[in-house]
Amino acid sequence: MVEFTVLLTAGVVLSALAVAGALSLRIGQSVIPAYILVGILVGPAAPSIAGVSLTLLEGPETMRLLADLGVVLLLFFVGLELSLDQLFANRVRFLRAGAADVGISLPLGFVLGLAFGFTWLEAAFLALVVFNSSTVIIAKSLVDLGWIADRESQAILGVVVIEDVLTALGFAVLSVLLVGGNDVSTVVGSVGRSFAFLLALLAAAYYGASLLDRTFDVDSTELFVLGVLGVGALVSGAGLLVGVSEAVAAFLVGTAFGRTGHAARIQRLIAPSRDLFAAVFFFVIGLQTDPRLLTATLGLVLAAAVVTTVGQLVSGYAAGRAYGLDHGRSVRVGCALTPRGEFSLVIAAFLVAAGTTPALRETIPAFTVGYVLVTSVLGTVLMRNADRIAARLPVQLSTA
Amino acid sequence: MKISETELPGVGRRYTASFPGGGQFVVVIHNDGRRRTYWRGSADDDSEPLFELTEPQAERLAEVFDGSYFTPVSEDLEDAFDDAPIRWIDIDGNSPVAGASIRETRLRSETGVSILAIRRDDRTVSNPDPDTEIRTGDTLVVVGTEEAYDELDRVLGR
Repeated sequence: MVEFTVLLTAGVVLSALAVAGALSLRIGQSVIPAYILVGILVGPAAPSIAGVSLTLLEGPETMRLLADLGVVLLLFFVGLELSLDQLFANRVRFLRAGAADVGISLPLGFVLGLAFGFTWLEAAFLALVVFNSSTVIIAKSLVDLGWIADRESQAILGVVVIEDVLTALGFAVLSVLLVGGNDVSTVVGSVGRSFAFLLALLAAAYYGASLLDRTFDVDSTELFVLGVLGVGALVSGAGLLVGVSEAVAAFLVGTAFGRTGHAARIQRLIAPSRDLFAAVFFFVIGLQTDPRLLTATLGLVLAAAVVTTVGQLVSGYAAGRAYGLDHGRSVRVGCALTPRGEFSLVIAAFLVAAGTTPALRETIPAFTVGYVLVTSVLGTVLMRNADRIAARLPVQLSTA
Repeated sequence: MKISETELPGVGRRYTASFPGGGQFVVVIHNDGRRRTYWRGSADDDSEPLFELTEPQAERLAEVFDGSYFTPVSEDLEDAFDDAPIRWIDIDGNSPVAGASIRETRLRSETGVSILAIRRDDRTVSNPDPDTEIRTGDTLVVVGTEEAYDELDRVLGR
């Protein structure tokens, strides 16, 4: 048996991710499900081929740091690219489109969670998981299909931004409420501390833009990258200390940088790091997933995928019409919004570490992995066939 | 012509140019600097992809549109390169290189000076090949370091 050093393991993992990603792109799919599958395939519960187990890593320890940075950077970029100005400039249309999407999809997920027999807090987390459309998968598909040049793309991406803001908000509140212990004064103290941190961070993000602007006005590329990553990791780490999800903290840091003149430079210099670390994060998600739990939650996954995808097609279509798009383009909006991805997985990863009930620690994360695998693939297929679907839908829908 | 700008979170920015005669030209600038271009007959049509450019390519193309790509020769061209100025050398009948091909003069290997072009009558022979003959009355456009020019002066007997 070969003794794997950390470096050799990392080499095997990164190479496997590259190969899996390339195969995935070849068949027109997103890389996210491919990375997760690689994680499952070489994790502690890996299958054996001819008596030799594929298990490469017993746990995520050696990859943990990279994966954590992946979470921070994924959400940092969501905040960075927020562009609320555009939403405000077209607020009436986006308000209507967002209301149609959110009003149908968010309650649907919550009711689904309660129907599955979860408590209201568990159901609320589940609602967020099945609500948030994947910016990463959608943005890539929009470019691949050429819709990016057409009118529906701003409606789709605008709705995704609204979903991201609401998810971040909901996640922040729910993660703060998720504290162990029965002693009321401890709970109140802990919740209070978390909210104080969030408020301070919000204020800093709002008022600190000019300070960030001046501080990061450095010529050296490497100092710039180090500084931005440093601030992101520092604030996210501090958030974890007081019970705020590192993802939410990173999101707020991202919004702060998005209001400076450095946004474009960060895009150029740090996006490659985000892609690398995010790939490792998706891999670790797979690594942590017990295939037995995945099978056990398969029924829930399929039920949720059917219900939420139909719900999303309806709510996305309604959002497209509310935005002022015609029948065909509204169907595209509905299809485009169906894939779930990074944000759902970030919530799942948080629950693995911070969950207070078995459902939160195991069932919902395993469910999320299965759900993302199904919806990311299904969503991409739906997008590719959107125009055929639109042509087959009854005409009276188009005049509705 | 109307141009509108749209932010595309997660992708980049999009510019749509609407022509008065109908049709829209769409440029999507990705966050990594790549540009994708599209064309559609009217605002309601689906866009057809045209071509993709890197940032430096886009900048050069922009200069063409701008009319600034073919920069006219300016007064300070001689100082265009700090350490290797461009010079104009007139060849008269007494010059040792008059009547020889560039290869025969061995100017480049002997002196280090490269001939960029030859002004002859009112024409310009740009990027001349080694067999090009240097004639009396030519003006050589050359580039080289100060040391190379010292060598050139010695070879030409100036």
